Amino acid sequence: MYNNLAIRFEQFTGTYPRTDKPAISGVNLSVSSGECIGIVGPPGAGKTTFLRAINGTFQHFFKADYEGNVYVMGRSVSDTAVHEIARQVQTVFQDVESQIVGITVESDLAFGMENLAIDTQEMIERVNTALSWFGLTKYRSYSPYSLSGGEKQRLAIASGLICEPQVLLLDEPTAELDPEARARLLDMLLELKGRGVTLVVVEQNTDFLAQLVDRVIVLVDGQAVYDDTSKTIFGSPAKLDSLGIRPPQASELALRLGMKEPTPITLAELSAALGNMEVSVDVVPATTRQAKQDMKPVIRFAEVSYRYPGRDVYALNDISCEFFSGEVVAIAGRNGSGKSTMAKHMLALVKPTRGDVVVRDTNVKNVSPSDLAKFVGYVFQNPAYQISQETVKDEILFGMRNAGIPEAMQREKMYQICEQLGINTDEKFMAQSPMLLSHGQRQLVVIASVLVMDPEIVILDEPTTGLGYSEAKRLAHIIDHLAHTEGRCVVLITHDMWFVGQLADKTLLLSEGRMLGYDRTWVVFKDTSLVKQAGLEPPYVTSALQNIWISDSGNGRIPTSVSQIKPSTRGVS
Amino acid sequence: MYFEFYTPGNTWAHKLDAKIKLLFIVAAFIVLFIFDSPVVPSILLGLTVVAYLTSGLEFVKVRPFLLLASYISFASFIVWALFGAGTNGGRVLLSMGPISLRYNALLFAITVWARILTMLLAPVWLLMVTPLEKLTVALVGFRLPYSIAFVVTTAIRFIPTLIGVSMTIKDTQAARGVRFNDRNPIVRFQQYVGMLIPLAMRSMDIIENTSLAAETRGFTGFGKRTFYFASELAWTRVDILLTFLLVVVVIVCLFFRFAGYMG
Repeated sequence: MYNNLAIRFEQFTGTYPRTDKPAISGVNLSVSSGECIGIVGPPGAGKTTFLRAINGTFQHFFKADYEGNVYVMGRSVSDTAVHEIARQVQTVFQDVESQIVGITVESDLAFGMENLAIDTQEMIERVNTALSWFGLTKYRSYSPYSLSGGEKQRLAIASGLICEPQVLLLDEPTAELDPEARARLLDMLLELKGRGVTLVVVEQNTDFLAQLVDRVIVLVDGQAVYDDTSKTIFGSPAKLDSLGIRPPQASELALRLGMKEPTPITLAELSAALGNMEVSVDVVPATTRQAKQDMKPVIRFAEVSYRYPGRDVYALNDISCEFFSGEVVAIAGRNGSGKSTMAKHMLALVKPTRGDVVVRDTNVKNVSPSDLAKFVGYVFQNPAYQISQETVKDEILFGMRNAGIPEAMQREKMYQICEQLGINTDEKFMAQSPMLLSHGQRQLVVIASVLVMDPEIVILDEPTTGLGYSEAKRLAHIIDHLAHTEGRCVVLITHDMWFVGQLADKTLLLSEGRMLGYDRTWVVFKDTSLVKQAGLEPPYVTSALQNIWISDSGNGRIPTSVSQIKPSTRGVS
Repeated sequence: MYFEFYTPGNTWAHKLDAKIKLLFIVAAFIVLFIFDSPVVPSILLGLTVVAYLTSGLEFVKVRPFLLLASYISFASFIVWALFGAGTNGGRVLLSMGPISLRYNALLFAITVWARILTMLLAPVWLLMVTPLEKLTVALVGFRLPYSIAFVVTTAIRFIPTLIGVSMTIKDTQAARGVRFNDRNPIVRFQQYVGMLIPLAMRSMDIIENTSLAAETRGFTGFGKRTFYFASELAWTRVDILLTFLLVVVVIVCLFFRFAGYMG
């Protein structure tokens, strides 16, 4: 089926400078030209290092210590400079903003070709073709930074493909994308796959990979522990779960409904399988409590509109809603819909242009963020911005020190929260620089630094970005505890519908700064047209069972996560 | 929040060759320092204003730079008008106790004001109507090695990026109880100093990521390369003619200055 070898790892083992443990160990495998493979694994498994070993940055840029070799299109990566490898291999990084080099979209597209000394006329033609193919023509002279997350991702892929590489490497391409942009990316990659480009995709979103790749390599502790077809690997949800990898929702649901492994791995396969069966499921009644009518809201938006200085367009438009203690509220919408702007109002980081935001009886117009910091904890989207201290310990204690909390109490609280979050508390780890931790570990440290302050209101902006499956599950458990046991108000800003479906009591849908809907999560997800209008997709569970589900005790409720489903005694037949 | 100097457009200013725009700025800087009389700096300031008004730039984008340049130039005006040494000749126009404003000092203060305003606003105009890639190519057109031209323009590029990063860091620190609005200026200064560590760490992160990205996209400072904006590299007849005219203007200005006009 595939002719030549595109990539070959020969007993490749490598260690980053100033570390003891190999980041990649004894990898021995081949990838044929035109193959489309997915790389999965828990955080720290060596997924990004696998890509770096192919594009040569592991060996040359990071100056890693290594044994064995990697060959790309027959050339030894060890003996070839990174810029030479770039003629055949292009990479799309996880943080697409960091790979923007051009000041305009067209010059960013041209940068790689200029380096490869491609003729100017040829460059102009390729830029025009790429702009049109990737739907970026109207942004030709725009700054890449002004594009939405999905558009930046398309630009990053276009900038790689325009050099006509034989191999395209993608590192977590869906991490920052909303469901609408993710669906468009999938279509684009399927087309590239059809054109015979060799694709190697590192991705935590196995739902996405299940629709794209033919083969999956599972990395654990730098070793390739499984290498098989996507149907075999993704069709074994129990095994993936035990390895700390989130199984595709379709296979997880299939298993829950009693289907045998290998299960269906995509929504289409699952729907087809369910279509031939009689299915009856009971929805586990909601464990969450409803906000009582006589309860006072802890956050209230009253006809709030907001416009950033110097902008014509309103980022928020006439928002009115109330959030209560003891509930998890998700604010969901596509990139740039106003989610973060809304959250910033809750901490007085921005103040409404019109209307009022009241937090615990205080109008944010009259206070500064530091006045609210005692009651409101805010976990920002990118932990790198939030970290300011030299050690993990200082980072976690930072807020408590600002608030003048006694030292003994600081330490006690720190150990308690670290234990809940599964953060290592030994002295060596606590003395490390938080900037040297992995993205997922940094995220947990930042969350700990906020939770130690015991805030009544906890705001988490895209908390699952960069977290592994086990870490995300642990975080979900903590959020559930914070809201439903300790009675705090937790606000989630996310487009991770799996996380919303698992946790959120209520969901507020935003689109272009306007509120499309705000109700209990299952009620919001039931209105699929509204969800699509917000550029989102309901969780797979909701979509898969919408037309065929029969409820005995759900009272019209539809499931939003696999855990809410209790197969009835009839089960699947 | 992102900020970028360059504003896309299709005006004469956007179409003009980057080399010529650079030469205009260099020539203006030379001429500004040739004359001590306010006439020529005021003319150049007027030309800069005309350039802004005819380049399709939005006022909201220009405003922060205009304000900053106005503050700096006005402060210089006051200092030179009231305390400028060596410009004490001429009749007294105003007198308040030990401080007096003299005619010559006022003229020189106007010169300094127009000079500083032009020197601050003209390069910003250049960056607003010229993509940095075109400036890189223009510098290469002046025989500067590509690697150096790339470093210069990349450094300019990072200014708005770092402004955006520092605004985000300030938000994250305020969210953790740091008081940037403390009444005590020393405390406020300390809080801003506290931002330096994350800013430095994030800057190093950005620099490493950008150099990594550039290398994986085939960048090498020394190898053979082509240019997408190759037209900026070539010297057309119009470019040569305009350059010749600029050189003539500078020489004529020098001649007038040494002949004793507007000294």
